[in-house]
Amino acid sequence: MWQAKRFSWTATLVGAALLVGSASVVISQEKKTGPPTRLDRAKNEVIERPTKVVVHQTSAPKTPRPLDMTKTLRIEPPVRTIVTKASAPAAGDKFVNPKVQPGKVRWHPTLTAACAAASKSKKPILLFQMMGKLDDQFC
Amino acid sequence: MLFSREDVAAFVNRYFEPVWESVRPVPIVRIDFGNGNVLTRTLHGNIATYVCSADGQVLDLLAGIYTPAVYLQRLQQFRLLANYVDQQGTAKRAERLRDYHKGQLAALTKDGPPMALLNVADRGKARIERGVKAMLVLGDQARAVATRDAALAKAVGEPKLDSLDDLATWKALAKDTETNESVRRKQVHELLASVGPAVPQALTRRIYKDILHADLEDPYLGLGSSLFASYPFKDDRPH
Repeated sequence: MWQAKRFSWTATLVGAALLVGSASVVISQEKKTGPPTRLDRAKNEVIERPTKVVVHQTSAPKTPRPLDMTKTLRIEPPVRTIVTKASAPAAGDKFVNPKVQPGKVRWHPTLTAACAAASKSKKPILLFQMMGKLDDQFC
Repeated sequence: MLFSREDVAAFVNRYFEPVWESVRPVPIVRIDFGNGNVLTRTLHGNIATYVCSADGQVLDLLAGIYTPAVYLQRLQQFRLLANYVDQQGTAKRAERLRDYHKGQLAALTKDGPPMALLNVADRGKARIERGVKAMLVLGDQARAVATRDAALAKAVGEPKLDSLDDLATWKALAKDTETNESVRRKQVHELLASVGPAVPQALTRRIYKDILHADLEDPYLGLGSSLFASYPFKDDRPH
């Protein structure tokens, strides 16, 4: 009698366990038809950012990216700025134009001196006008 | 360099009282290649040669650079011009000078030969005392003077051209001379015929701006549009 009771309890428990197991299998099968399981976060969000996001944020030409400030303002300032500001004071420029002989002509030092000489010699004056200086190497 | 040549220097020393002056510093371009090599050269330098009377009045001028031979030809004519305009006294100079420039302008406008000045002083006297008596000649006579001067100029010779660079530079100089003798000479005669007696300082800015295309009042000498046209950051303004 005792043994028969024990057997029926065991059978009930096993039956219940099988019922729960099969129910969970059915539920898990049903879940697979719903939304997919989330992918590995580290790979998707940290290592490989979604293509859409990458394309949208880094290459979509919505607004032009500002120019490289370091290059345009520090390394290569606009030419106009260089010419007007940086090159104006010659004191900062290390270039020194070497002095040379201004040819073999015997030049008067000033136009006034040439006029005075011309009054005496009755020769005309030859005035040579130029940018730079005739006694500079680069003129 | 023009004034380093013996023939040019000797001619200038013998027949003129020479003086040079700077109208402004010349722009200098330096390219530092970063390995110790630095290229230095001038940019857009330009010159003008005036002949003036003893009281400083401009008689004529050459705008731009010339080959030595043509430069000497022109200086020879200028020397005669200085004599020609004062032959009837300094009071008549302005009138004779204006007529001279008007005549030259008319000849060049018609693409004819410009008038020429001939030294008709007694040859013996001219040789001994460097005497000069200039006469203005036209047409065939002017052409004959030009032909004779060209032959003399040919005798001056060209510098030794040792490399392709020298040859290229010489060709560019010859081309400049041609432009100076045609286009710029005409502009010079037009200006001098219209302004009357003037000292060099009164003409300098106009000559550089209108004839040599280098505006002395512009810090970029009129080159700004070319300098900044292709610069990609021209619109940037520094903070």
